[in-house]
Amino acid sequence: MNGRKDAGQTQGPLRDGGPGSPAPPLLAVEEIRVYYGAIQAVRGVSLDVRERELVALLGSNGAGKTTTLRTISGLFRPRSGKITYDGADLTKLAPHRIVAAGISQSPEGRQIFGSLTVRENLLLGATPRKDRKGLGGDLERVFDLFPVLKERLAQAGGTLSGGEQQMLAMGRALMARPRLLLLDEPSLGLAPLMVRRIFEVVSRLKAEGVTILLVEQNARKALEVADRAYVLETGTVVLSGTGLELAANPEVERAYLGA
Amino acid sequence: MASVPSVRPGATASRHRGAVPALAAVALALTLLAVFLAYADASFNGYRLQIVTLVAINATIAVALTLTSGFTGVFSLGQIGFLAIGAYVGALLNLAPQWKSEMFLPGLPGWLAAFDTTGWHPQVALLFACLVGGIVAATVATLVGMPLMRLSGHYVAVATMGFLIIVHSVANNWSGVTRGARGLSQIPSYTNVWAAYGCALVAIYAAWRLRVSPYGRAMIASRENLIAARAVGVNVHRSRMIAFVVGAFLTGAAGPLLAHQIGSVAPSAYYFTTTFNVVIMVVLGGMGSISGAVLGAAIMTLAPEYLRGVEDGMDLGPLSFGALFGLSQIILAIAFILVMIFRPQGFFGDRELGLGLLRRRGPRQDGDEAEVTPTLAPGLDVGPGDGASR
Ligand SMILES: Nc1ncnc2c1ncn2[C@@H]1O[C@H](COP(=O)(O)OP(=O)(O)OP(=O)(O)O)[C@@H](O)[C@H]1O
Ligand SMILES: [Mg+2]
Repeated sequence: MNGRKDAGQTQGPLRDGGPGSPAPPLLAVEEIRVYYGAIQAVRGVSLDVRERELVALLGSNGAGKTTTLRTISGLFRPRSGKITYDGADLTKLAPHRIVAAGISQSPEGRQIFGSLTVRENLLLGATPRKDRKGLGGDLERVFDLFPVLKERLAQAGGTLSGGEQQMLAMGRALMARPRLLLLDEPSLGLAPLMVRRIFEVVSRLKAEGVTILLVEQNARKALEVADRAYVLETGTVVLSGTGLELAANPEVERAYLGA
Repeated sequence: MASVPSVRPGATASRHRGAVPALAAVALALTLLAVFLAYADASFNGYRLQIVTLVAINATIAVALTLTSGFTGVFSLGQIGFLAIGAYVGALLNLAPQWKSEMFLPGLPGWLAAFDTTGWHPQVALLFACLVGGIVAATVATLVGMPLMRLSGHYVAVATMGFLIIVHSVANNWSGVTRGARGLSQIPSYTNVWAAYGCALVAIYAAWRLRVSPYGRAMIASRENLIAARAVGVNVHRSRMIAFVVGAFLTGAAGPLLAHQIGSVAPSAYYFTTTFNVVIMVVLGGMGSISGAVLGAAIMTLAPEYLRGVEDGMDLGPLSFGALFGLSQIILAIAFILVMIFRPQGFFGDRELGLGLLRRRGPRQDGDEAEVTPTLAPGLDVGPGDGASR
């Protein structure tokens, strides 16, 4: 049941879903190939994420996880392949339009705007939104998830600790009111306590109905919270299945849950 | 959510607390400036008054460059091209028709040659020229910026320098309209301290409003980390275009002030030397700081005047120096190099004069902390993130 290459039981582009059939995926990545100059970083990755699902994307260093997420956000263009979101083609859309469409990202390495205040960083997350009225409420929601940010509002983002910066990066992504949240290694370099906080928040967001695509090095934790997961190796999907299936898979056990 | 109102009042209350002294400080500063200008206007000789006026004109240009390049990190070396456009537009509008006749400017369209503002109130004619100069410069900036603002980093610097060279050679060679290298003269001297400082204040206010708006925030974000800015949904091209066009408008508006101050416009006055002077003003003040640009402009305008005395020679103890021409330039250059070594972020970096001082006095604690904690070297040092080149 470890469905190597998903054994063709995928839902495909069936969009006519009757009451019984599975809902079409919110995000469908089909066979994307992404290059850095002549170097191919992503070699035909396909994956999909259904509404309200939490999907983990695992893989060792250099597997192409970040490249995949950045391509979904429109920061890189795939040389071939297609990305559809909510039935619409994203492949040629500018990044700000993709955020406006409801996909936001907490990027790898946090990427905080160091000389801007925490408040400005958060407000920047809401850049493509038209409804300025809702901002106060959304800031409150972020403070509710990460109370420490409220105490740091006027502080320059670059002066926050690593964990605080990670919370700021996630808060900033949430300010876009995403329907699909892309998280790139949110627990990287954090102390165990902080890792737990971050995963608590991820679970809570899922419970609130946010669809999440999570890239993680911490495979054990990721598989615990994920509905489904994909394993990437040198730019291709080598395994996929439910979180439980993958957690029980001996290959995954050896390579990622390691002992 | 129900908790929404609980923050809002707090936030606005603290903002009000800060706003009253800030407003009072601005009013006080404006009053002092007005008193000084009235005094200068009444008692300074023509030359000194001209220097005082020049401080404001240079401040306008430096603030505009801060907006265009300091906020966005997109280095424009074409700024002075817009100044030239504004200056020529102002001159051609307000020259007396006798100087625009077929004999002097055969290439000028008839309607412009006949356009006569000599009957207007000089300040109205000047204001009109500033507005038209600004609009023409902004229009050119829109056309030029469309392709150029898509380029990254150094390419923009080179390409905008190309724009400056084009403006220069048009001014040099379109003799029927510009009289080529001889330039236009007989431009009535309409500029006074009030107009110049008025324009500078408008530029400062515009830059400040832009900086605190979502657009300004987006500009700083794209300067600091291009990948992250794009990831959060900043339309980088649009925010650079806004900075470029608004900066061009303000610079173009300063052009007529300069033309009506000096009385003539010639291509050589709007080229590399002027460009580098303005760049130094901005870098000295701190890329990204409006008050830094004003300070930089003041220093770079006043210092050469004070240093001019040095060139006459002097006695230092047993040593006696004869007249050394060019010494003031060398002293300024050395001073600039020293500033860059010891304070590469310029005097202010990204900060603004006054805001921090005001905040420290106020009862807000979070604000105080922000001032005390060392900020990551702002401005140039932070630079674009690792992903910027992609
Ligand atoms: N800017 C770049 N130029 C050239 N090659 C790159 C660039 N960025 C990434 N790569 C290469 O593309 C491949 C995939 O990189 P990517 O960052 O997507 O991996 P990753 O799965 O996110 O790894 P990690 O777990 O270390 O973050 C790697 O081989 C990497 O060396
Ligand atoms: Mg990565």
